Amino acid sequence: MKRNVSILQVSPTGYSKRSVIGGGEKIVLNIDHALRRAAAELQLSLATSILVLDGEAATVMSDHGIDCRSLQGRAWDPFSIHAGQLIERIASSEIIYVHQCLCQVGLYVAAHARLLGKVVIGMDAGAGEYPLVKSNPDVARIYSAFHALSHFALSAYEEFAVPRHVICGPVDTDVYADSCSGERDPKTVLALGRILPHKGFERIIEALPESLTLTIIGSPYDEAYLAFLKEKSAGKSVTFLTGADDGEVRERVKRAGLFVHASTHFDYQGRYSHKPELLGLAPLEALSMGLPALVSDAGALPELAQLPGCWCFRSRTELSDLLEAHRAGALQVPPPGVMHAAVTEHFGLLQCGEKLLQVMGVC
Amino acid sequence: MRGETTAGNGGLLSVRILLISNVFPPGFLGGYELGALDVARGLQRAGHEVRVLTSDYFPDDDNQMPELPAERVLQCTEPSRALIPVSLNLQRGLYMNSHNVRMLAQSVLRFSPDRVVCFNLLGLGVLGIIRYLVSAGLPPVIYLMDDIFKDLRNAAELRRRFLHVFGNLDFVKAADFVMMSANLAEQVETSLGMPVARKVIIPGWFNAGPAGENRPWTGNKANHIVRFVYASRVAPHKGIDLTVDAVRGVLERGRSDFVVDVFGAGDVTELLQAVTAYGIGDHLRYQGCPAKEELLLRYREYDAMLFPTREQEPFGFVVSEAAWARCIPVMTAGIGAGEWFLDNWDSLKISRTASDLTAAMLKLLAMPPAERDLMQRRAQRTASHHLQFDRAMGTIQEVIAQQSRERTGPSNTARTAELAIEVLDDMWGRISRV
Repeated sequence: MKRNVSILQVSPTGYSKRSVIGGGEKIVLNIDHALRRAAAELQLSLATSILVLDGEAATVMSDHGIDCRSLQGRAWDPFSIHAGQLIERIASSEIIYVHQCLCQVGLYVAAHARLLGKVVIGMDAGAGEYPLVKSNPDVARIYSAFHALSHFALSAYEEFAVPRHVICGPVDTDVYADSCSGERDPKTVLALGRILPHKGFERIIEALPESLTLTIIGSPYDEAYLAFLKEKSAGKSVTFLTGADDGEVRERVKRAGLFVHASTHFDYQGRYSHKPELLGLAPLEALSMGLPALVSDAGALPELAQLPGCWCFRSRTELSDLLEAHRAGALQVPPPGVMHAAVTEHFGLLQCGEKLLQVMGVC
Repeated sequence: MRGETTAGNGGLLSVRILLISNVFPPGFLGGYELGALDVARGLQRAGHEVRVLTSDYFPDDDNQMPELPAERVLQCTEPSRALIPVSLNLQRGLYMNSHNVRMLAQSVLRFSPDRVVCFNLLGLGVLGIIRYLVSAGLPPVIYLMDDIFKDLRNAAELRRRFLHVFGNLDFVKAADFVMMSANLAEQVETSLGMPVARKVIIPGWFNAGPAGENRPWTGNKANHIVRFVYASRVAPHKGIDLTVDAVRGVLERGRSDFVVDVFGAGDVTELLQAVTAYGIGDHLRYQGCPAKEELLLRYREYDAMLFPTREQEPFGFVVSEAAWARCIPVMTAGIGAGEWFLDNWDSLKISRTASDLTAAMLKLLAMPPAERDLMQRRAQRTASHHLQFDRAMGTIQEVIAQQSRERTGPSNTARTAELAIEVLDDMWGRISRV
């Protein structure tokens, strides 16, 4: 073992039904796993832990044994958190990785970490920027470096004089593995994500050929949108599965014939979303399990089109054409093992963990 | 760190020292800033490069001290030329002034000090400055001649909100404290709500004589009626009201063979009006506000100094200076300077009442000249043995050298530490407006 290093990730929300079940929250767990995997590979003595600022996130769902604790407070409200308790938690770690780094609570954590002399890494997962960052971009210098999950995510840090690093992923390709067991049903199309307008589920429903069935899996965070989707589904074979856990989702992915991720910058009511997708964890997990995927051109999703088994659509017509091609068996789907290997190589735990440790100055 | 350690200089040779004070001469309000000036010059004489960071309370348009570079760019709420509301004074003056932290970061970047010595930070955002310095890897020497934290005892809600955002005051423990007395140390610890482990007591000094050589004055006192001197701010907290009452008390007891000369600035108008109202002009004479060097020499003309100041007085430089001039200190018991003098031996200590001060004056009036002379010489001996400036400077340099050896803690770059504080200050400002 080369040296002892302690890394703490701090996130406003936790991957929990009592907090948020979303990609941004899951990434926290994946990064922890990636760091430990890389440390083992590099023979580093590394201690990792997670601090969730949402006191409600008592139970964090994870596929790995992770040291995850929460502070008494509300996720997005720095004033609900007592700085003394925060300082106590971050004091013993050398490196603090701050999720949602440009929002108010992210800056609050980073400022304390900086004053304690820590290496402070920031990552924006779409929570937006606190106005102080706009009025005085210099405050971003409290970060030692920024981590961008994709090339598109890099745009969030464009105006800051802080080193920026694109490190794609991480996808937990250990858990989301290629499985040869069981038959896929080519007629089943799967869509997965928080049921929110910027996810663009209605675009899949609209383009869905009659002979295919669509299963939308996700937690409903917008009742009006869910009602809109159900109305839109009339006469089509669409089912909604809410409240499924990760294990159940993986079972569905194993049996499905196609995955579609249709996020959009302009939702069904014309509202604009700056950062609808900063990575695209759900389609990446599907691809890692050998399920071909169609992704929209929103945010970072086109970057996934480099992967075998992934196609990018730029319009409703293209989506319809691709779905029709799938129905007709005309998509040239590579072997599952090839798809899994490509995700592992470009978005997997080890590559991400090693690059992150390098950015953190650990190796 | 540019110098190497050497003996005879507190273990330091030629380092860059940034000295911070809310007010800095040539203009001054009291002993604190004059003490800061003494230390600045002492450090220069010892071969160190000194730069001063202070407020624009006294602009120094004529650059009267070119040998001592000073940046007068800080905002100060107390003292201030503007009428600052109490709440803003507490918020910006005691807790945090991000403008001042920004200016401090600029000074640190430009001057690159090896050490920072803080004098009176009150009005500058005391806690913000200390927090910044500790985080920037420059834990300061905090030279306290007053309890600059005393307002932490007030406005409990403001303190609670500050700690909610900034965490705790533990960062203060990284500083080295120089305090003028045990009395002051006790006050500071009460204000902070925690003990201060790294502290050294350095009493208030006299720094007198040609070129500050401090050679004891051995001439004879003039053979005249007993002459008392009052040389402090002309203000109730320093005891001017008690002095007026005591003069009247002594006269009422039939003794008129004395005078009290008053030096200083402050409530002079009120004093002169009271002197007229009570008809005591033959015995209490206002003598203006001469330069310190002149005043130090004039102390020799007096038999005793009246210093009925508040009990919390951290020290009282005038006691040391008067004692050196063989002027018997008549002072409030319990003040910092009193820790070095014995009652009825080399001083008279009183409870802070007009009757006690009257009694002390009558005692000196009734005292045979030879006995009074003996007490005067004892006072001078005490000052010479314990209260010389050179002795203080030696200890100050030891503290600075010790700090360099033990320096630990975070070492953020000067600007990133400032930006981190700006983020927290923004949030504290919001929570304070709730």
